[in-house]
Amino acid sequence: MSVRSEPLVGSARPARRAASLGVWLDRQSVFSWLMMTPPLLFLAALVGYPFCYGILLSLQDRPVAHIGTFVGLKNFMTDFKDAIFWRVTLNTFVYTAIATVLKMVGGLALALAMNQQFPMKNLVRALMLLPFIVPTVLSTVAWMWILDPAFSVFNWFLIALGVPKPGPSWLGNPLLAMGSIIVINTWRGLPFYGITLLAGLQTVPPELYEAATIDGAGGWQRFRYVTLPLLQPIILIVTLFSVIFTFADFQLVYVLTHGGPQNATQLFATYAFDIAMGAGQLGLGASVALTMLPALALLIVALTIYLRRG
Amino acid sequence: MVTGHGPIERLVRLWLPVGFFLVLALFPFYWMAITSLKPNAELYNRRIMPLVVHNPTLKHYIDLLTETSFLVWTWNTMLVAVVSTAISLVLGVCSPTP
Repeated sequence: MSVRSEPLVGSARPARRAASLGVWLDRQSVFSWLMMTPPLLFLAALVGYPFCYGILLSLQDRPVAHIGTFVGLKNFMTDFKDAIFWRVTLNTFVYTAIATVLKMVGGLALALAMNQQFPMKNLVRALMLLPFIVPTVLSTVAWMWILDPAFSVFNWFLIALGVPKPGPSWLGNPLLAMGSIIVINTWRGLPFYGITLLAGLQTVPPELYEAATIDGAGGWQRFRYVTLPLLQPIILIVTLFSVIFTFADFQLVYVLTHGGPQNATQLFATYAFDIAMGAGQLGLGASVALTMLPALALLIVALTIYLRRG
Repeated sequence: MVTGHGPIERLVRLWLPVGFFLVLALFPFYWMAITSLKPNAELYNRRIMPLVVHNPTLKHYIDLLTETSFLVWTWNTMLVAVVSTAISLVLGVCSPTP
């Protein structure tokens, strides 16, 4: 008896401990924390740490390959006294505002056009998404060649139509360069608006249009009093997302114009990169990048509040 | 929608806008495709009509495969895509938004 009971007791104890560990792991609070820890650590390492390091850098005089010295808000003071910084601020706001309006209006038109019945509808919808799916750097290189100073296809047509010889310098003239990056940003962002608004359009119940028609509403009135109010929440969310991405845009401008000519297309992100990596002033560059933070933070808070309420 | 049955109305309401957006969206891709097929002499000649390929060539593709490490780059791209998708999938499954 005692010989047989010894191993029994010995094996029962770890089993009970394993069972209680299982129960403990199964508790809602414990399990959710276990699951949350890896992503939280990941975010802390790859989002939190660079963000805090950026703030630290912005308060330092930190040339590349030197140890930084704490200078307080001096970098920000330098920014605010810098004429180019204000040019960059203006550029970023102009770029974001015009591109967003173009994308909103164009995207709504695109969604309305695509919401009709026609052959090969799904193929056309898929093709329409291409500009948004293809990596920005790739499509921007294509645009670079389309707008090339010597071999632009647009200029070939303009010259064929009788415009004097070299034709407009799309990326060399400050105004045209700004116009070009706005148009290309619109080209790239339009499908995002179009597809999202199309999804919104398809949730509008057809009975509402029928009722409006019976009440004598014309096409414009159906759009104004049925479509638009029902789409409004989606338009708002898409616009907030789009403003956030456009405001902090980097790739397009960096590849196409490098911020030139004479900083005419320089945005916050490209200017920060130029100062930090080009001129080697890491601290000053970080301070330029951080001046984007208040505007973006406001937008993100607005978006979060709106999404939580809805 | 409710209206839009006449051929002219259908042209104005459907085909013109859809055609406009399609050309706008796809022109740069068409341009990339034909540029890749043009010989250099044609690419750098401003007098030739640029919208079509007059003497198509696969030279650029052959150069890409024989004179660059294109296959290594392709492999790197695949690797990054698969690994980063896997990591974000795992981390994403771990953190369902409440």
